[in-house]
Amino acid sequence: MTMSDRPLLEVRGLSKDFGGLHALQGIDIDVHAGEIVGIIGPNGSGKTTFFNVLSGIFPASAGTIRFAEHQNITRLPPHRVTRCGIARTFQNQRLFNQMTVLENVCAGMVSRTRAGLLPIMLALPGARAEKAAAEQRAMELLGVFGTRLVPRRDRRAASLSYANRRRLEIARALATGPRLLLLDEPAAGMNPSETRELMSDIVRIRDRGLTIVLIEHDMHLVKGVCSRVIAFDHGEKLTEGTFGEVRNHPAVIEAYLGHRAAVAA
Amino acid sequence: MTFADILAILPQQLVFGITLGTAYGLIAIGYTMVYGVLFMINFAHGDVFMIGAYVGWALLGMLFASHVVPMHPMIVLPLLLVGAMVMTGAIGLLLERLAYRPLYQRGATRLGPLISAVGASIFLQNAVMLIAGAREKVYMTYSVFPRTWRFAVAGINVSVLVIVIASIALLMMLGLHWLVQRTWLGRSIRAVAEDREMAAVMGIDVWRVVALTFCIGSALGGAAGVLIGFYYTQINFYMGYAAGLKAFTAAVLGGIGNVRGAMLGGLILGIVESLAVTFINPAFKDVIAFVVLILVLMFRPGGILGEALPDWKRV
Repeated sequence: MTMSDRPLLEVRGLSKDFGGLHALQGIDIDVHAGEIVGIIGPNGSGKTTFFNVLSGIFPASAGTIRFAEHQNITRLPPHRVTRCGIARTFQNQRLFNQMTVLENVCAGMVSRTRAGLLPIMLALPGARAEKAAAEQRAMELLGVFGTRLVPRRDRRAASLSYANRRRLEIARALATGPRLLLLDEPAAGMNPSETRELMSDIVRIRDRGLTIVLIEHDMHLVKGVCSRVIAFDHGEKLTEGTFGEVRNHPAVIEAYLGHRAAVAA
Repeated sequence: MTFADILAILPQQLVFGITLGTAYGLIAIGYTMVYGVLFMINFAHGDVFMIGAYVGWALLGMLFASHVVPMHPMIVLPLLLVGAMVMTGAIGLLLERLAYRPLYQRGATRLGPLISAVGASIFLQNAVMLIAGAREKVYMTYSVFPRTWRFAVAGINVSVLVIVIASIALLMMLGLHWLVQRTWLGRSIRAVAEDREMAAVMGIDVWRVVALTFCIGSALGGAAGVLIGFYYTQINFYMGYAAGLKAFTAAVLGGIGNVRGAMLGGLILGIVESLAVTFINPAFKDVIAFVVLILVLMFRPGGILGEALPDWKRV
């Protein structure tokens, strides 16, 4: 096996308990560079908890996470995980609403900024050049969404339309310079045409060299963009495979529709 | 008092009010910034201000005795301000590290850090009393700003000292405003204030930002200590209590968590106070601040520039 065959993300035996509740139990997942992996499952099946543990918001109860050249990122705090190259969005919108569109994206680049407090205070040329470069890069990231965000760069995030706020969340996550992007229900609340646009956006982001794992209830989107699908239920991984394989798997049908439906199928 | 009398005193009192107000604003910034990132009232902040005044006093005494530098404001003031700000900035960092962070990292509720702040306040007051003694200290204001340095503008008698205090305070506030609105650090502070968890996910080291916020807020408070020392010429180890409460009032008046609000609240409070001293009764000077605080809390709890806070951010 050559190095390039090694998965970008290797999750082994990942568990998370909240008191007596087993929110995640022994999850094993490999994600290879360039994949778009979809995670599906009923509400409360542990999908978002999985993202929260991956991104360091909840410490894992057991198991290991290896990411790229970082042997073990399991117990790192969120900002360190982000610096390793994992970015995420949330199910509910959490933009910095008081900031402008451009500032939101720049906030994602803070950890990549090198200028210290003193050079900034003295407005030294190095700090200024860095700021200009960052703003240029932020504009480029807004450009990922065509003309949706670029003309609105100086508007407050709170004043954007719903779909644009969701796009901005992705642009802001991209600003941290990730190799792996975790999207938690990116299409939630979008209408069908916005969802179609989002699908081509997701593919375009992958084509920029990123790897994507997304949680989604919109099966049309999962079918359309995901090269591989993983199904969760009760904090465990039920099965994985292509969209067709997973959708017709009896355990998945049972998880979604109940035992009788599974038998009938 | 006739109308003509009032007209005659009013501009003079406005000058005093603005001077005092800019100093209140400078202290209020420390309360409001810390509240912004931690949702906690740092009741030790008034004592950090007091320490700034003491450091300035000690440095002034040393400079005066050493005869090394001429006692000119352009030389003396920067030295005193830098000395006081370095010292109080360091104390702010220590406070955050020793008195508050350990509590938060052990999952403290709202009340714990607040009690810790009151404890830190008592500790700082007593430490200064033990080190410097309990007697009032006198700022040698007139060795730097001679009594003759005053001029009349449109019938108002203004001293150079008052102009210098107000300008330095305003400059510092403008500098801070620029820092918060235009720089990486400011962006991080605003991000942490708005959504700490999200800021962390954006790669921002939240506790580092909190520490820097304490450091900056405390340094500004320390600078205000030097300015107020020059203004009142007498300082004592418990001066931080009243000044702190007034600056806290100013922060609430402007809208706590809002830096511009703290500056505005300070100015308004300073002006209201000096007008009340003239037109009501000087004995009510300290009462006015609290009347203002009560009125704000009754009629506009969010403050002038404050917005309706979500439940979890309320005091």
